[in-house]
Amino acid sequence: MSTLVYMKYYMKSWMTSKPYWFWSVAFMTIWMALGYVSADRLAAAPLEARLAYTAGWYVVIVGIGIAAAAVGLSRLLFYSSIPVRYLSKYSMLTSRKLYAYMFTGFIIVCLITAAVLAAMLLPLYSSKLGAVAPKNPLGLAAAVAGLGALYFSIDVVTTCAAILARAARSAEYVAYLPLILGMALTMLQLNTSLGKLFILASPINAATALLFSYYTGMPPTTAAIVEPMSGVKLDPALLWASVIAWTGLLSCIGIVLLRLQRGVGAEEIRLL
Amino acid sequence: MIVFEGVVAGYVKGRPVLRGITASLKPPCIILGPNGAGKTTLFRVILGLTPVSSGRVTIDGRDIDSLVGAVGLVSTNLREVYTLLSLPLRDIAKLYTAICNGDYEWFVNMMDELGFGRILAARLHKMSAGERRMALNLLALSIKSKYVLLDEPFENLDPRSRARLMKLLLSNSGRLIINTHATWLLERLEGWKAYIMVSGKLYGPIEASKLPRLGLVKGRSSKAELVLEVDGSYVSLVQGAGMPISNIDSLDRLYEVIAL
Repeated sequence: MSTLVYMKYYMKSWMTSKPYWFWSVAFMTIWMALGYVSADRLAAAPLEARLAYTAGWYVVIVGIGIAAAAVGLSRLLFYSSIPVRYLSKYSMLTSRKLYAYMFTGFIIVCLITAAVLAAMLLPLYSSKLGAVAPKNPLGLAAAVAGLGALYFSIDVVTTCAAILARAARSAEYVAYLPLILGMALTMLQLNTSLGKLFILASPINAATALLFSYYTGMPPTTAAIVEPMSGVKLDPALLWASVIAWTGLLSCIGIVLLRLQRGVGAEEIRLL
Repeated sequence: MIVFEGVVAGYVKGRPVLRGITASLKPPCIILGPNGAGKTTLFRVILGLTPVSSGRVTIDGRDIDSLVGAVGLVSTNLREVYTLLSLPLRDIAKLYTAICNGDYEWFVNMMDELGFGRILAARLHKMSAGERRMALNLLALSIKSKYVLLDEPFENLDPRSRARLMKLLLSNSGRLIINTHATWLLERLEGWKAYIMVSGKLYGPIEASKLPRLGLVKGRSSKAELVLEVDGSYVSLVQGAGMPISNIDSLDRLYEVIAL
């Protein structure tokens, strides 16, 4: 019970983080505005096209917003690596419990990000495109949680690997890896029809396909997000299996690495 | 008891900071040494933060490498241990006292009593060095641990706070292991053991209250209570001769004995 208090302060630290609110929410409104400005040409289009257009922008904005939050998570992990080491030895907060709390907390942060972005996007886009609310909000929330879990596990593995390798000077580069990966894969999926195997093997794309599908109510496909009517249909169960399997595998590695790391302090950063 | 058996440790391969430490530390004890001697690294090894390249460290017979969830065993005032989340001091104290079995009420009361209550809402990086030092000292003491490791607890404190903290430490001495380069406090440490740390080696133990009466003499003396190896030379601690420890503020002046 005492360790639950960590969750409270972990969430408080996220919700009072200015970089989080700027990069994951405020900065995303610029993208949102771009979509709003170019929505005029779709005002008279069928509902399906208007919904797909809104969903496309939402999926990209949420995907990048969560990836941007992952940058903050990596920094947090890097600079808290010494306390984590100490606490796993001399407190009730073992590395496994800490992982579970951080994992859950980050998913909540992702859901909050997605909800805030939806609350801004929906009235804005609806004013031009009519009723464009998501068809399956619960499915959408589940996919957001899946994407958040995936980014979290990628982040822990890359950051802890850098700490273990004593690559203290590459902290900034490591922190941006999930964002770079996320942006590259999401943009690729936005404009290119990816192969079935590629999407199944790439969990970020699998989660993005699920997000788009739950928003529009259309079955997931291999199609580019900008041309959603084409492409080969994908089984949502397989997409979920890809997201869950990758998250599970990376989480197992992450927990081990978190337990093995000895922290990197300012003293070591100077020495390396 | 914290036992070191031939411990070699450091941050860069081939450049050990601790060079074969063998000692048994039992509170109350003080580790004296000039800056850069390896005192903080010794604490970091106990906390599991600095890897040991050879040798072994045990706490009450348990190897530190295998320790997990040993609540109430060790607490410290090292700042790096309290940077888990970027939060105001009040929240950090609530969090750490909750997960490490501490007493938050005691911490707040002591902060008020020692005149530092005003900084509870501040973050560690916004505090002055003295405020931060006192806050972390009290946080370490508020955790109900068997061993409290205080790294330079008096550094940057004003004279009044220093005296108040000294009084508090003496009333908690049964669980304290302090490291410092300051020597002014030695006369008050009746019943404490003292170790001297120089260039990554630990010498002692010796009665802490006896140290002020000893003087620093260059070379190896047959009357020496302790002989220290400093940068390839020797310094002896001899009663009634040399530069008296009671006359120097800090063991940093050890190097003057060799150089001059």
